[in-house]
Amino acid sequence: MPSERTVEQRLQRLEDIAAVRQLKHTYAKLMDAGLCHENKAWPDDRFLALFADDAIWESNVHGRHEGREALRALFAGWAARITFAKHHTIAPSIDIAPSGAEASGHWYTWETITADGQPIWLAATYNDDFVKRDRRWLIKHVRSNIQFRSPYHQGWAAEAPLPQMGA
Amino acid sequence: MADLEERVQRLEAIEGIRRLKIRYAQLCDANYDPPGLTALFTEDAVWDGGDLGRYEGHDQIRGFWEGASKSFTFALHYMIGHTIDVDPPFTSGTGHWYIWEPATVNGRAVFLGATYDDVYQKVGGEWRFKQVNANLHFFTPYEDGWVKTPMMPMD
Repeated sequence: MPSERTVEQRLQRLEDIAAVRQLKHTYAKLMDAGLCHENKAWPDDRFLALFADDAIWESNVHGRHEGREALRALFAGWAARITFAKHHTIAPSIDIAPSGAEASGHWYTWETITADGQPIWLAATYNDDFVKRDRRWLIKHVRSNIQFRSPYHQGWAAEAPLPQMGA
Repeated sequence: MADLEERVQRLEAIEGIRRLKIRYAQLCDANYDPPGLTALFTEDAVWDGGDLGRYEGHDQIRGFWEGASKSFTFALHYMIGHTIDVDPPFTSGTGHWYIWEPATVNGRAVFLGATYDDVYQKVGGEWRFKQVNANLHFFTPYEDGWVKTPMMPMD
């Protein structure tokens, strides 16, 4: 770490990394709580408030969805099919931009899901962007590269590799 | 209590080591990128996996990754649950990690479960691996599970 930066600035960076890490893990926690709830009213405003107004959510499987209302529709579609989900969101690698107002992060996720009544494994990586607005970190762009989505009883070796998006 | 400078240095060192280990995972998942992975090790580093073999120095370590890239056609290295210890002057450290690794080996789905005991060293301002001890707990065909077949042959 170059020491031209003040201790205050270096501490700020570490606090921002911790805040972005917590934001992503809150995304996982609220998504799982919402998808598993028996009286489902998800995505709710509390979950959508984690995103910037102009946020984008895209994956190599689900396409690209831009703006909060498009995200609401995307997640509502999942809620209709998914009755159980655990997003084990793992190994964050977070860069804070020199401005301190933007960040990017890479994560792994290992998911146990029940979709249409069937147990599946889902393995993916994330390359996400974040923005700090009014001193609060928000999700700006989720890029999810799904590696496999496999029925529990089958495993992943039988599946053709999914095409991956660039970062 | 240590002064503020030292406390910040400790957190920066822990974050730097965490990033090194995750970079290692990302390169393993990119078909074991042998040159990229080797560059994360000190010149005299040791990668010791017990029955998986012991590799010392850049040439041997690169050879190990080249072999892995042939038999593992797919792998995701989930690096989990780490403890990292560093002390002033924050030029070396030790760490313990868990790994959960779904992989495809010679066309077969497998689960690999292991832990790591690592030694890190700072070289030219960058954290590097000085020693990696990989302790394999199971390496099992997906269909069998770890009670029936805890360890399948590696090749």
